[in-house]
Amino acid sequence: MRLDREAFGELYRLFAPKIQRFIAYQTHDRVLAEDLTNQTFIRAMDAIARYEHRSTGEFTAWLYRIAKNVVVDHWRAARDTVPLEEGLLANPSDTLDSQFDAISRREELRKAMRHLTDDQREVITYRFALGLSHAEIGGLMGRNEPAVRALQFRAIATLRNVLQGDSA
Amino acid sequence: MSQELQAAFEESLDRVQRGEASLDQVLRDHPEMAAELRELLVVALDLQAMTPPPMTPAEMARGLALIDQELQRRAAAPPRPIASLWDRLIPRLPPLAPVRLAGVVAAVAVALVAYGGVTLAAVNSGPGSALYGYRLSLEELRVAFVDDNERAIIYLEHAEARLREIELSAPVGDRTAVQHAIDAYRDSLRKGVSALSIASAAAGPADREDAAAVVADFRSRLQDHQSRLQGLTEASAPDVREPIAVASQSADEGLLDARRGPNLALLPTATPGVVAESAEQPTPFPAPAATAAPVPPPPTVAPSPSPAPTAPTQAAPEPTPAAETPTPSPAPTETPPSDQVAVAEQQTVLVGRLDAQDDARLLVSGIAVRLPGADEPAAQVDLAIAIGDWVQVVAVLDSDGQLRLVNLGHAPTPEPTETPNPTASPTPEATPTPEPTETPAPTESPTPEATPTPEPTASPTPEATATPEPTETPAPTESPTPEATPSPEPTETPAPTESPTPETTPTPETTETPVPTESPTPETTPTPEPTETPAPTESPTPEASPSPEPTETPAPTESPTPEATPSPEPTETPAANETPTPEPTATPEPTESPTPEATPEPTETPTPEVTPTPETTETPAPETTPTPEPTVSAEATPDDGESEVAVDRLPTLRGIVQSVEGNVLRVGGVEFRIPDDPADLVPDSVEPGAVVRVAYRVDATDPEVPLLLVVMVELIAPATQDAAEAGSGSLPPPVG
Repeated sequence: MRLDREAFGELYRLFAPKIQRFIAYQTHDRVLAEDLTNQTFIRAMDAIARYEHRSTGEFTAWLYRIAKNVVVDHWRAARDTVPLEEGLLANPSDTLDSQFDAISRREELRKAMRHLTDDQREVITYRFALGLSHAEIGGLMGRNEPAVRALQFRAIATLRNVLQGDSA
Repeated sequence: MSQELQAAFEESLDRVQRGEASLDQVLRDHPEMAAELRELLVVALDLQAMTPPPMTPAEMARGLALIDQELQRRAAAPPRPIASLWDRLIPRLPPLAPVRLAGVVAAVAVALVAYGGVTLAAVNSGPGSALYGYRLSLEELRVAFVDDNERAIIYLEHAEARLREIELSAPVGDRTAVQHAIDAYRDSLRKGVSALSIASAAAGPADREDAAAVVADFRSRLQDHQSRLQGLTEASAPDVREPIAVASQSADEGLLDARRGPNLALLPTATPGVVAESAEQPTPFPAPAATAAPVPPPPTVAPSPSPAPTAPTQAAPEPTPAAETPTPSPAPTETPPSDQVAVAEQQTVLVGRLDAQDDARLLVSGIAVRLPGADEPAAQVDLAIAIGDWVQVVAVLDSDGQLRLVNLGHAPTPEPTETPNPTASPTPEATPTPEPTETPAPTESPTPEATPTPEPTASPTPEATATPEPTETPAPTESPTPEATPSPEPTETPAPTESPTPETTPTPETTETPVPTESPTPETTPTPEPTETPAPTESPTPEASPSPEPTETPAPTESPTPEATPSPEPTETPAANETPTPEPTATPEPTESPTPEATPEPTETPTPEVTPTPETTETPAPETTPTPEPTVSAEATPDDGESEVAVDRLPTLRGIVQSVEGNVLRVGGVEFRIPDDPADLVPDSVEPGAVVRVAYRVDATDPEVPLLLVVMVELIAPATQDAAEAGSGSLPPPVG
């Protein structure tokens, strides 16, 4: 098993920072992100035997998919806590400008992200947390670039609507 | 949201992110949507500002410790058993997972980190080392940058490196190291075989030589693996013997896989371009006419039978006459077209289903053909031939009585093109369609001439004269017409047009190649018109048989036998031309049903066709069907057109008659059994030295000793004195 530890350790060192950022951007909880990141690698450990390696890009996408599923599973498990946050979002006050003027604006935005679909949240994360290009995102998500752009635009519009109190 | 807004948003965001403009500046460029655009851009920029801080070293350390702990926990669990079958390599990934994982890590490491101390250390790590997997992954990187041929060899080199590691580890009893090396060995071997198949399948005409060389190299080296592993298995300590035996099995299976599918074509030191070359020379079957007559002396193969050549010679004259008529040109010319291979009279041409293949032989519709040895002329093979395909095998009879492969290709498809030829002589209908212009009319006109042909045929002629026409109902029907009706025939052309349809149908069946195969034959038959017509001549038999056939019809399955009788003559000739089989109907009502009926039926034929092939191969019954075309058509057609198809798919063998003794007919090194039923199944003209084509079926009642039962015998060229002598004397004993 030393072989596995060596190889997997290398894998963790290479990808954990990105995965952690990917998760942290969606959970906005550093401790939770660390936990979910480790969960992601343990799932990868289980699934690596079924993975047929073709390219680094494909492996990256595979790992991100696992991370995404870990986050989604977390959301589902924590669903009971969501309503409270939504309650806060349901009463946006003041104008959009004033919201963004306050530090609380970002907190509102994080909460608004829960109104996004999984794909929308994923594309926003790739784009703004990891700084990937639309083409790179397309490669990871298995979509073409226009589709990624449209997905991103709809996600931002949804966030804007949620923040404005518009139940999109 | 309009697309316009989206476009403005993306463009503005890009500019802001790149620092080319401020938010206000970009909004000024889109005054009509500034308000909405601003809201969106603010959200986007805020999203960007939410980027979390990077992972800290402490978080990384905790994560690594957790992963390590989890791996240790799993390592303590009992290992999963290692499967022993090659096919289970993938499902059995557990033992290979480390290799896969290491491959990923290495790929990523090289891509992102570049070489470092670890990489250098890994290069020298053995199967017992922690860096062994990493080393394997580094080796794997080589493969990503080469073509398929080279990839196969690189994988093989990897396997050989693993084999050396096994050889080093086994003597010291390091079971762990042996196991790691064996896992890696099998993984490399599996990938190598896979790459080999891909390379073989993708090889174009220009690449075939390279691909063939790679396959040959791969095979020879794998054979070396086999012997080394076998020796190692015997010499190793008991505790490592088992895993080594598994590796040895992998080598065996890898070698076997290397001989399957696309690789098959490359196996016997194949010479590329078979198909293409074939076009140049006359086709065995289709060419019969051509072959027999004009080409008789193809020197190609040196084989014993010289007689054959002689026969052709005689035939030659016939063609000439035909030539006078339009026929000559059309038939020959067309015949050779696509995929046919020139065949010397001494060669045996077998058209049937490739049932099996190993490293030494091919089994085609019950007949074994050995692959050429390293010291023998390489065989020409068509790429992409797989088990189950209908193939055309050209072989020569060795002094030891074995058929040796000379050429292996897909059996010609009876598409319109070919049909024509056949059509030409027998059924004008068919002819028209395919090569409308060509000669429908002319061809046929020649047909009449064909009549003369029979004459040349001599022996057959007499019979032919009488029977042929009847037998060939379709053709015959026309024959009469032809003479007087050149023009009428044209009229018929339309009908032919239809017939083509049926034929076409077959084509799709691709698989059905068989049909083609036979069709070609028939076509050839056409040729015969001149020369071969004689074969039809055999129709005599049919004449007699007709009645029996009907009777037998009842027992369709068996009908084969009886039918066979009839089929022979009619079947092929007509069948070929007019798959339409309409004849079937006709059979009973021979002459008349011909064209019309045939056409319709053909249409149906298509559907069933698919199934047919297999059946044909296995069940001789279909064959019978063929013969009784009439019978079949009537009954089968309605139910399922397959029966008809089946008829066309009977395997056939063309070669020189070695002997006819009792109920045993030896042709081209193969022994056939002559059913008792159609008493005159084998015409008297079929004597040693004659060139014939035998349609047969395989009776596998006794799997250990399958019998090849004659369904029809078509005389292609009569025996000459020399041929007769050679036929019975110089030819080696039969194989069948």
